[in-house]
This record gives sequence, structure tokens and C-alpha cells, in this order.
Amino acid sequence: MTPIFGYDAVVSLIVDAVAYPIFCATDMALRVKQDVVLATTASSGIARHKRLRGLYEWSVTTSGLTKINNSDGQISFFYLLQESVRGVQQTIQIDFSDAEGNDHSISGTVIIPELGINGPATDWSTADITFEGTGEFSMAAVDPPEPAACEQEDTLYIDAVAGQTSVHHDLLEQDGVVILSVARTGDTLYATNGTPGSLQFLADLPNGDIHIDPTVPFNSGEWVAVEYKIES
Amino acid sequence: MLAQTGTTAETKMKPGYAYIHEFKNIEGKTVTTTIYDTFFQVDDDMEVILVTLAPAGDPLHISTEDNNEDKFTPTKSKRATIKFLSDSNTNLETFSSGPDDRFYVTIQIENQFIFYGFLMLDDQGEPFLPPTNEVTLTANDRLKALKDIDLTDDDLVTLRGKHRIADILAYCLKKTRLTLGIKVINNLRHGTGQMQYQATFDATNQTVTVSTDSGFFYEGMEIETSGTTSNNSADVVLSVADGSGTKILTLDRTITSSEAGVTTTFTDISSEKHFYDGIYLDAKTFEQEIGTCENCLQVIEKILGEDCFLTQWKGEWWVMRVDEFDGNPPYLAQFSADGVFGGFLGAADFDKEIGFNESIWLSQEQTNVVTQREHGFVKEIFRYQHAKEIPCNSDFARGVGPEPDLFQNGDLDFTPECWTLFREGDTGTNASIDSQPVSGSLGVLRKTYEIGYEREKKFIVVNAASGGRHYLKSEAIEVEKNGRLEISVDTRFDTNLSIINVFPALIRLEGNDGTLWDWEYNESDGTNEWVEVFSSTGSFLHQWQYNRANDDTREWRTISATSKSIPVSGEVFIRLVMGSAQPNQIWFNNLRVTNKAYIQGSYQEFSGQFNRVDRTDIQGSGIKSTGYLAKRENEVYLSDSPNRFFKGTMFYRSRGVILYSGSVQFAVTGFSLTGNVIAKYPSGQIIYISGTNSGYYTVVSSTFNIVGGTTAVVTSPAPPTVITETATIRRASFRRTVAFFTSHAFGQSFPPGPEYCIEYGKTQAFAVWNQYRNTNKIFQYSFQGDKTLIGFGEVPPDLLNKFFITDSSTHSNNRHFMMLTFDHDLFLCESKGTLVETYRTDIPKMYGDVFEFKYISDKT
Repeated sequence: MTPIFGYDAVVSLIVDAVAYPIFCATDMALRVKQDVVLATTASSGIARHKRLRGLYEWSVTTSGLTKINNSDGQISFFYLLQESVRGVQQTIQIDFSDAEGNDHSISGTVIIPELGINGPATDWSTADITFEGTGEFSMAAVDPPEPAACEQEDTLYIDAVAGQTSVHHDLLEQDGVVILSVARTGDTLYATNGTPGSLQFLADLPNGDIHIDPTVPFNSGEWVAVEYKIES
Repeated sequence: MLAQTGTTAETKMKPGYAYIHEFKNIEGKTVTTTIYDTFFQVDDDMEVILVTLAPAGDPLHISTEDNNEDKFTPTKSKRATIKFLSDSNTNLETFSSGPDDRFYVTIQIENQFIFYGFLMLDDQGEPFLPPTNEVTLTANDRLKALKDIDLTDDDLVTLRGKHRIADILAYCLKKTRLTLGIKVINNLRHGTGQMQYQATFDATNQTVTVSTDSGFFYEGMEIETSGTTSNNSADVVLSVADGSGTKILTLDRTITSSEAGVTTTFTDISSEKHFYDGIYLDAKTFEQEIGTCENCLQVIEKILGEDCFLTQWKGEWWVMRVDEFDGNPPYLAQFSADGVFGGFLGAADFDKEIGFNESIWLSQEQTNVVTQREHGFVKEIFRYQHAKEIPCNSDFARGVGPEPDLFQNGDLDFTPECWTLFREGDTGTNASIDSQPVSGSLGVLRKTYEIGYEREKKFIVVNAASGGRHYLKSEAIEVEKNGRLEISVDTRFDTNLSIINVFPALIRLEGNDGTLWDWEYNESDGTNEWVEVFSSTGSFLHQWQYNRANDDTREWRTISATSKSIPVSGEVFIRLVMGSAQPNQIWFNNLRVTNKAYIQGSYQEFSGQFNRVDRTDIQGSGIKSTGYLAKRENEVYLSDSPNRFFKGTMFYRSRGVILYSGSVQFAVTGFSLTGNVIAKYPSGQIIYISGTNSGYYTVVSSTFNIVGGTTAVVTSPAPPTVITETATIRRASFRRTVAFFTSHAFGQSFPPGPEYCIEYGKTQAFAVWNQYRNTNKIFQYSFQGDKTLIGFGEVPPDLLNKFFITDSSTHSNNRHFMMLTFDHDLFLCESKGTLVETYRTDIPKMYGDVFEFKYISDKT
């Protein structure tokens, strides 16, 4: 997945069940703070122990450029400034999306303890607002990460016995062994499920055996290289 | 639960408004506080109007009311602090006015009630700002409010006579207006338990010889025998004599079948009863002023002091004996809100572990351990206090009658309180004494007024033309064997009579052993003795008399005497008699009665006694340790009184004087007897009936029916069997307690031998001593209920729990703790308070330290 870019995190005010972006915001921050209780006791060692009590609080701050009214579909600072709006609980929603079309949404009831606007002489007027959550926020569950495939790749060099048509290695008896390639004294062999012919090998797993063309047994000094991996 | 208003089912009402304050705590439990406004009542079948309160951020705490860290603080009241957010409709003003019991509060976690109480209207508050504000309400269980309420019965009548401890506690606790059951963890029991001995029942000599020289048997003991062929019975032991390695008993029944060497199980019936069910106190223990009792808080504290504590838990009142925070489980007993014994409930498990890996763990790094030093001794002092008036209404001040007007002049007659007009009866013998007075007689309290002021008061007794002597009979005066009575009274007549000898009083002792004795006193010839009389004896043969020859009988004359040693323990009744067959008035005034105790072989006036335990370095050596200066000296109000008339004397119930023996017609509500015998069965008297309906009963009322000439006695409980049969009715007698044992150490059963049964004061002294003998570790704790392991749950940790701190430390290992104080945050499930050590598994209770019992003399 690609990272979320800042302009893909949008804070909106819910008015009559419709989400309106809160002014032309240039920045937003969501903070969640959990109650931590110290749990160190006489016999718990010298490192501090801490536990979560189970309570948390959350807040959202956002700032940006604003306009006189809501006519273009964005919530104006001045709309929020009204007592009838800032004096009652509101519902906000924060939408996150990425370039691949994935999205995530967080919403909750908030009060507005603080908001402000300033007008530097040589720049745009900017506004900022703090929303403090009251009660829990809601969001869709995010699945826990799936464990990555645990792969081990290794290459075995097995000395062949003259006259034999197979080699054996205990590591090839492991569960999940997948043969990636086999070479006979430097020559790469192709895998087959039948009786190996010329330049072919048959992997007999999980017995840990590699069979070669039975008509061409190993000569003295030959070796077999087996590249394999283990899939969990 | 709140005591319901209304007197009949038709008029039952309930509060019309209820304010609901509800939240989920961090353990996910719903905590609901309901505040009922009892000012607005609705019919029982109408719906209550519910108003929702918005809980504030710190919505609810329950805490102990005070921070007293004495283990033996007798009452541990609780307080709830409730916070909600105000609005224009519901705010501080909503809860700011009305009587103290206007707002009834219940608190529950899920379905478990954890608090009942009332809002305290003088401790509410909110910021002086526009809404929304945080309003703080406080409620308490009203235990502390009992200091403003005198002890009375449920009809608000001042208590008199003997009452079970459970009844007295119930009278007090119901004054909180909370009707809650009472659970008790106090397994002290009276008596000597149960033993098996070889016994020989001798019908010839009317004795039982028991093959033991132990102290199991005692005089007055009510005992059940079983295991015999024909002597299984329930009897009273009248006497215990020493034989050769044996005890020789006499019983209050006739032994009709001899049996020799039979293995017999003897059970002390008083030992089967719970302490609070079987032990009685005289209401005078709690006398405040004449005619009033102390406040209910004082009463509770006197009963429980240096022994137990009382608190509210899980929707009930709980009494816990501190000594039972030991290695045994807590054994419970149940009483109803009215004090009715509901049975022994067996062992419970109130253990709570606190520790790093427990569901409750010490939090915030704020727990401190402090020590309480080892004590040198404890001393429990019991002071001898007499009742303010002996007998009841001895100053002739109180009576029932007309209300004097503001400028009342002249005489008004009243029916005297505690004195009853009777006559000697038609037979002239004791069989008919205390008969109903005949028409034309008089026995009154007469008060003389001048312009509304009471100037004079006296008793007046007048005989009728028939019916013999009439008299005013007092209530009982407790006396003890070998003690003495000093009595004086002023008498005169309304006219100057030509009379030589005056017989103004009959003073009779009714012994606990069933005997009757009259005090014969003749001022002229010096006669002064106790004379045993019988039912067939003439009733007025042995009176007080003095000579008034050549005397103006209109002059007040004092007659006073000190008795010889009282022959048996029991109750004395004074009858103030008109002993002359003339239509004149005899007047009485200035009655004075003094009980002289016989203690330690003398009449020396001791002011009290104490039980003391001193530390010793070698158990059993009798040598006191030195260097331990900490001590605990406290006054106790119940103990092994040497005399039954001292306040604080504890009594067990047994069988006393025979009131009647013959045919009894038992009915659904009580029984009937021939003749007018209502005087023998006053309301409230406890009687014992033998036969099919054997057992103890309390007289509810007695009524004489002219048609049929019978007296109908209504009893509580009602007799189980309707039958007419020969039975014996006895007045219950109350005897001083003898010994106690701690049955919790024996699985709530009997001890293996009478050596475990010792005096109450000694038991108490060692129980207190074992709490102060060792260095006590006190944890000033902060703990957190784990939200995953559910540390608080529906029943948060409380004063009844036995705590173990599992974080290994020299301060906590091998120790049990009790909670002395707490402040529970029921939203965060955390608590701050105090735990104190009560028991060590590696250092058991000690009973070999130096014990001392001593009488306290004012001269020493």
C-alpha cells in the first residue's frame, strides 16, 4: 500500500447526516491518550510496572484557510463560531484514503473547547479548531496483520558416492521443504515426477533423497548441489 | 429497604418520584443510584415518575464516614458521594429541603444492592455558576444519625425489663428507617456446651450423680439429657454438689425412674443459642435519665464496644467480631430486621487477595506501610452502675391521667406508671395474692397543684368495704443472694386514726429457684428476717410494721430498714399496703431503695472490676515483660457482673417461679385459665410452659372474661397444639451469665470440654490482647480493581473481607488484614484507605500471657 498523503486526511463536520469538510484545512492531528496506572509493588522488581486502566480520551485539532461562509461546501470558521454550533455537541468524521483507493473513517461526538482565527498582514487568514471527543469514537475494525511467510533458503552440497544414483540429506526430510534447483557437479537438472532421464532429477521428499538418471550413476568425485527452501 | 408508610394494605404508599443516576464503570458493570423523593407519595400500585440524572466525570464514591483507625470502633458508617450535571429542571435546589429522611437512596451494581441510605441535606453543593454544573450530593446510612434518637421499642415506648440483645439492636437499627436484615459473625456462645458422662438417676433421693468433677454443670443451667432409657428430658439444674470425683445434681423435675451408670449426653440449652438470641440485657443498662434511654448510637456502641463492629454491606446490616478475623472461616448467623433469629448459616468465604497478579493490585505507588507497636497490656474496665430509680417510678413522679391546665389548682389523680393496684385475694393465702381490686378501692398517684405548679405528690391507697387489703405493687427489683436491701418510705394517713400498729408494706422475694420469701420487719421489737412462704401460706403474715400509738397519724413518718442477707437471687416486689380495715387513705412518699452488693465476701463498695492481660516473654510463666509501654485501657459496658442489678449485667433465660400448675386449655392464639389471673400474665412477660406445648412464650395480652370466669392469655408465638391438658406455667427467670466459649474455633459447634468455657470478660480481654500483642502492620493503601479480571465486580471489597497481600514481603507474608477505612471510586474501581493486620499464621493467638481480674475499690 502507498502512504496516506496529508490532503487525503479530511476532517468533516456532520450536518444533517452529510459530511462537510471543515474549512480548507492544511493540517490535522488526532490524539488518543490512555489512562496509565502504576502497578509497581515491593516484589515486582526494580523496573516500573504500568497498566492500562481502561479509560482513554481523544481529540482532533485542525487548522487551515477559511472563508466567509459555507457556500462552496466547506464549513466556514464563522459557522463554527456561532454559539448555537460551538455550544452544543457535534459529530465529526475523519476520512483517510490513499492513492490505491483504500480508505478508513473515524467518527465520534465532540465538543469544541477552543477555536481561533488569525490574520497576518502579509498572508492568508488561518483558523484552527480543537475538538475533544466525548464518549468513544467509532471506526471500522482493521484486520490484524497476517504473519509473513517464513521462508528459509539454503543450498546443500552433497558428496555423491560412485556408482550410486541418488543422494540423501537429513535437512531435506524437514516439513515444508521445496526444492528450488538441483545441479550435478555443476550441471543444472530439471525436475521430473517420473523416472529421471538425462539431466533430470526426482526429489523424494520427505525421505530426503534426490534421484538422478539411473542409467548414468555418479562417478567418483561428483557432488550434487540442492537449493531448497522451507515454507511454513 | 425503606420502611413502608401506611398502616394497612389499603393505604400503603410509596415515593412518587425517583431520580436515576446510572453509568458503566471501567469493569463494564452498570452502577445505578436511585434517589426516591418520599415527600411525594403515590399509591402502591401507581407508577413512579423517573427522572434521569446525568452522571458527572467522577460520578460516585462510597467511603467510610470517619477515619478512625481503631480496630474496635463499634460502628462503621458509610457515605455515598454522588455527582451529577445540573440542568434547569434538576439541580441542587431539587435536593435541598425537607426532613432528613426525605430522599431515600439505593445504590446497586448490576442487581446487587450495595448501599441503602438517605441524602444528607446539609452537605450538598454546586458551583455558583450557570448550568451545567457538577452537583455533589452526599448520602449516609444514618448510623451516625442514631445519636439523635433515643432507644425505644417500635411503638416509641421507652424500654423496660429484659430484652434479647438482638431485639435491642433491631430496635436501634430500625430507627434508621431502613428495614434490613442483620447478619452476625460473632460465635461467642454462653454455657458449657455438650458433654457425655456416665450418670446415675436416683428416684429415691431425687439426685443425678455424674461421673465428672469438671465445671460443666452450674446452678440454674437449663439442660437437656439424652441417651437414657427413661430420663431423657429438659430440666433446670437447681443445685450442683461435689461428690467423690462426681457432681451431684438436683433437678427441677421429679425423677420417677432410677437408672444407674447410663452413658448420658448432657447439652447446655443456652449453648445452642446464638449470643444475641440467648443473652438478655436489662433496659436499665441504657438508662439515660429516669424514664428515658440513651440514644441508639450509644446503645449499639455499648453492646458492641471492645468486641465487634457494625456496618452495612450487601444490603444488610452486618456485625463482625474482630477476634474472628483469624485462621478460621467466618461463621454466619442470620437475624431478621426485627431481630428474629433466622438460624446459623455456616461458614462463608470472604477472603480477598491483593497483589500484582491478582484482580486487585496495589496502584499508583502510593501504598505505605506503617507500624503499630507491640503493647504491654490491655485492660477492660467494667464500672458498677446502679439504675437511677429502683424500682421503676420510685419517686412517684409519673402517671397516666388528666392533663393539668395552665393554672391548675387542687388535686389530680393519675394511674401510677410501673405500679399496679391489687388486693390480697379471697383465700387470704399466697395462692390468690395479686387479685383484681374491688370497686370502691383506690390506688393512685395524687398530685396537688397551685396555679399550674405541682406542689405535692404522693401515692394514696384506700380499701373498699370488701376485698381485704389493697395495695400498689411495684415492678421487680433485681437482688442477688447474700446482698442486702435498704428500704425506707414515708407514710401517713389522711386523718388521725386511733391505730397502734401500721403495716405499710409487704416486701416479697421471688427466688430464681422458685422459692418465695417475705421480709418481716418490726420496728418495735427488732424482728428483721427473711421468712420463706408458700402458696398455702397466709399472704400477709410477714410484713413491715411500726407502732404509731399516741401519735398523730396525719404526720409523715419514716420507716426504714436494712435487710439481712438475701437468701436467694431473684426479684423483690414492694407492695405498699393499706393494712387497716378502715375507709381512710394511707399516703406514701419518699421511697428509697438501695441494693447493697455482696462482693468478695463483704459489703465493701467496689466501683467496678477489670480484666487485664499483660505481656510475658515466656508463655505461662506469670512474669510480666518490661519495656513495652504502649497500653490499651477502655471501659466496657457489658461484662460478668457480680450482681444482677448492675447496669450491663448479662442474663441467660431459664425457668423460674411456678405461676400455675393444673389444667390449661390451649387455643389457637394462646391459652385460657380458670379465674381472673391477669395480674400474673402482664404483657411482655416471658413464661415457660411444660407439656405438649413446652417452650418459652411471651405474653401479648391477658383478658378476663366475666362470662365463663376465665382469663385468656394471648402468646407469641402461639402454642403449636390446641389441646386441654395438665401443664405447669412458670415465669421465666433471668440468671447472670456464667461462661462463654468461642464456637467458631470448633466449627460453630461445642468445645471438647468445659475448660474452654471461661468468663466473658476474660474472653474479651484476650480477644483484644491478641490484636495488640504483635507489631501490627498497617497498609495505607491505594489499590486498583483490574478491569479484565474484574476486581470490584458487583460486591466491591469491604470491611467484612479478610485480606491477604500476596506481594511477598516481610510486611505482608503470613498476615491477614481487615479494612479499617476506604474510599471507593466506583467508576474507576480504585480505592484508597487502610488495612490493618489482624492475625498471623506464623504467630498464633496467645493465651499464656499474664491475666489479672480485680475489683476496683474507690478506697484503693
